[in-house]
This record gives sequence, C-alpha cells and structure tokens, in this order.
Amino acid sequence: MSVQPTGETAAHSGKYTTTVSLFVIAIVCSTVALTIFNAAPHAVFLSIILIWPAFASGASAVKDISSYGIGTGVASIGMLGAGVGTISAFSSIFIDIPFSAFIGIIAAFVIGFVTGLCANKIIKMKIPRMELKIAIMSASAAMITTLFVSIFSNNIDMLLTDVYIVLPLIFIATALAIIHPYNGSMGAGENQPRTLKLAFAEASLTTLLFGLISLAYTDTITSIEILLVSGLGFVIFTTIFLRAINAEIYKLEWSGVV
Amino acid sequence: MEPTIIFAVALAGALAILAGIFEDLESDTGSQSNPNSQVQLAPQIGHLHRYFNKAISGEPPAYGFWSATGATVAVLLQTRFLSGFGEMHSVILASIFGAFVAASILSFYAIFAHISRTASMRPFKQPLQLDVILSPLPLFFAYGFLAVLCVTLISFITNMVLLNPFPVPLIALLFGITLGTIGSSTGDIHYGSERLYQTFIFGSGIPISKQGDIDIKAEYGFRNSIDTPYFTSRFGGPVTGLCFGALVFLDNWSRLFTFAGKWTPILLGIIIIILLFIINLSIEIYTRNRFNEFTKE
Repeated sequence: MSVQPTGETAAHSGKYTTTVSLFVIAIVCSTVALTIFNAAPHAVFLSIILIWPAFASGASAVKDISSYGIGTGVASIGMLGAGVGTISAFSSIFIDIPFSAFIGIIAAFVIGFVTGLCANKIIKMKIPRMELKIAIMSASAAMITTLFVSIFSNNIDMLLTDVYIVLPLIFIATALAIIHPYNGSMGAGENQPRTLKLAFAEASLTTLLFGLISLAYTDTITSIEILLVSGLGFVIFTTIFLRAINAEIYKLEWSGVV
Repeated sequence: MEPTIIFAVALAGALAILAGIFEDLESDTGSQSNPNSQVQLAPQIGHLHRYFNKAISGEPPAYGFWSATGATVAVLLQTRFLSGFGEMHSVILASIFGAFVAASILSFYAIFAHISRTASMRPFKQPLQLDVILSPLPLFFAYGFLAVLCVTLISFITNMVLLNPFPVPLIALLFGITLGTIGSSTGDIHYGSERLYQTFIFGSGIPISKQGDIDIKAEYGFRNSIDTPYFTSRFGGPVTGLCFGALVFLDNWSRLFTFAGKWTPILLGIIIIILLFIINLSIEIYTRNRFNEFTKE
C-alpha cells in the first residue's frame, strides 16, 4: 500500500449529488425492483441490485439533516425516519387491495413529512427542509422493507416459522444501514461521495444478512441468488470505498509513533 | 412455584450480569458511544492518538441490531436443529451460530467506522495505522460474540421458560437496546470520564474547556484500545453487569408471586422502584456530607 502525499485541507473528490435526485433514482429503481420481483420471482438478483440506491438516498437524507449541527442526534433522527418507514410498510401488508405496497411507501412519505413538520414547527428545531428529508428517509426505509417483506413472504405456504419474527431485524438493520454511513464518516474531512460509497457497501452487507435469513423462508435458488449478488456487491463496493479512503487519508502506515 | 421457573429466573439474571460485563468491555475496546466524542475531538486540539474510533451510531441502536441479528438467526436455525439435537442443545447451538453472525457484522461496521472517521481527520494530520485496527479486532469480536450470545440465551429463556408472549427476536431487540443504554450510561463513564482524563483530579468531571484533551500516552508507549478493557474490567464492566443483571433478575423475580393476581408484578415493581429511589437518595446525601459540595478550583 502506498503512502499518500500529505496535505493541509480535506480532499474533496467527486461532486455533490442532491438528495432529491438520489431519491428520484431510488423511487424509479425500487419500483422496477418490486415489479420485477412480482412478475418473475427468480430474477430476484435484479431486485436486490435495484434496491441499493434506496439505502444511498436515505443515507444522503441523514447527512443533509445532521450537517446542521445535530451531531450525536444522527442516531435519533435516523431511528425516527426508519421507524416511520418500516411501520408504514409493515402496515401495508394488511391492506388487501392491488398495489398496497406502493400505498405503504406513499404513506411513509406523507407521515414522515408530517413528523418533520411537527419537529420544525412545534418543537422548533428550525432545520431547513427537514420535513422533506425525513420524508425521504422514511420512504427509502419503506421501499427496502417492502421488498424484503415481499421476498420473505413469497412462498408463504412452505414456511416452517412465522414470517413476522424477522420484522424487528428488518427494522433495525435498515435503520443502521441508513444512519451509519454518515455517522461513521463524520469529521472535518467528510464528503458526500465517500459517505455514499460507504452507504452502498453497508447496503450490500445488509442485503447479505437478509439473504442469510431468507434461507429459512424462500426456496434455495432465490436465497443463493441474493447471497451471491450481495456478496459480489459487498466486495466491489468495499474495494471502491477503500480506494476512496486510500486517496483521502492523511497517511497510511502499518504502525508508528503519532 | 415450579423449580424450573426459579432456576430460569436465576439463570437469566446470571446471564444478564455476564452480558452487561461483556457489552461494556466490547464498547470500551473501541471507544464506542460516550468516550467516542472525546476520541473524535482529540486530533482537532492536537492530540494524535492510537485509539480505535468505533462510531456505530450510539450503543442502544447498535446493540439492538447485534442482538436482533443473533436472535433471528438463532430462532431460524433452532427450528431446524430441534429434531436432531433436542430442545436445550438446539437452543445453545443455534445461539452460538447467531452470535457469530452478529459479531461478524459488528466487526465490519467497526472497521468501516474507524477508517472512514480517520480519513475525515485528514485536516488534523491523524494517520491511519493498520495495527490500531487489527490488534483490537479479535478482542471486540470475542466480547461482542459473548454479549450477543448471553442476550440471545436470555431471550430464549424469557420466551420458552418464563412464557413471555413476544417472539424471541423482538425480546432480543428490546433487551439489546436496554443493554446498550445501560452500557452507555453506566459503564462508559468509567472509561470516558476517568480513563481518558486520568491526568485530572478524580471525579472532577469534564468541563467544555477540557473536551478532547485526553491522555494519549500510557505507562510506556501510547495508550491503545487493548489496554482499555484491562482498566475498565475492574469497575465499569462489573457495574454495567450489576445494573443489567439486577434489572432482568428483579423484573423476572417479581413475576414469581401471585398474591394479588395479575397486578402482583406491577405492585412489586413499584415497591422495588421506591426502595431503589430511597437507597440512591441516601447514598447521594451520604456522599455530599462525606466529600462536601462541589468546590471552586
């Protein structure tokens, strides 16, 4: 590993992508992902690839809110957004009409917006555009939850264990994958491209975990598809992330005196 | 009262004490939660350090995640192991696999957090040293594995023997969040405000002017994240274990009695809370009388 040249200022590689444009990408990708999974359950590997942008959009929303000096409140704001999203998505399971999954995502967006409105207007947190960012966070969490609830409950007749026992794990794993990229990168030299690279690496780690869980619920081919594509994605995204680290770190060494 | 239930209450309490000890040592191995702010601030005021900067979004959500992962994997495996190994052995074997998966994910998150936060410290010339990552890694993997194993086993006992109506992963999520909260508020103070500030007078607290002004030099060489559990295992870890153990044990113990019907645990719980309040108040009054009020420097 090479030792990088030293520098006084933070290296801002790449350019800033707005959270709204990331969210639009995430909406398009996850709609396609859900449609593909409903039409052809054996093409699940495409759905897994297409759900990763939702993690990035949620992580970017967390970064936008937390940049206004929340700091240690990253976890709280993330749990709030992810909680609204996952609960809306879980509730949509019990609505027995066509396209109920999409209704859950829209409901998550609306409830997230109202929650942000309460935080800004009633608690007076006065964070610019917090309503929209919490709504984006909730909707992203709802997309992820909807896809994995659909995957786990697809072969409902061959289940040995009830599917609802994985709901706590889906909630907390999604929340951590959304809040941790910014929380883990915080500091003076933090920049959005590296945070998003970490978001993709953790997204694929989370889908890898869900793939492991899906061995108990789906048929073996589906699980192996999820595990393979997530494992491959994890290796690729981690490599990209480590390259970014290597380019931005002040000095890389095995050991030494600081 | 059946002997099985009394045994289960005692076992859950004992496992909770162990879970608390291991949880606190695991978080101290990588400066998670409370001490993390101090380790994070140190390079900004010129203290380059060799601590592991394990920023995983606060201990309560992080431990909720590890525990829920461990318990979910364990429950799903336990139904497969049931026919081959019998009830008790299948639970123990499945919990070991679950804790292993949880500890692996913990390690990935910890490494990502450390390298990414160190990269963000570039303006302050904090180097990324690979032995700082690799030497504490097996230690907090092991502590994390043991903590998650204990929480998973407590959740199984609560669900299967003490007949809690909630599913095991949900119990584990709630126990994990509780455990993380206790570790963050009780145990980490021994590391965050005492170990990192040993040059200042014992118990003097951390005013804003001292924030980030941590000890970076050890008895010989530099302070590191492996020596920290050696210090915190004397007080911080056991106190966390005592707190979580007392919580789990007293809560389960109050369910053993039936003298007032369904209201018995609630009545006993209120009595326990009042007793604890009186004990805490008398300790504080004794401390104030013994060591006087806070004095000006």
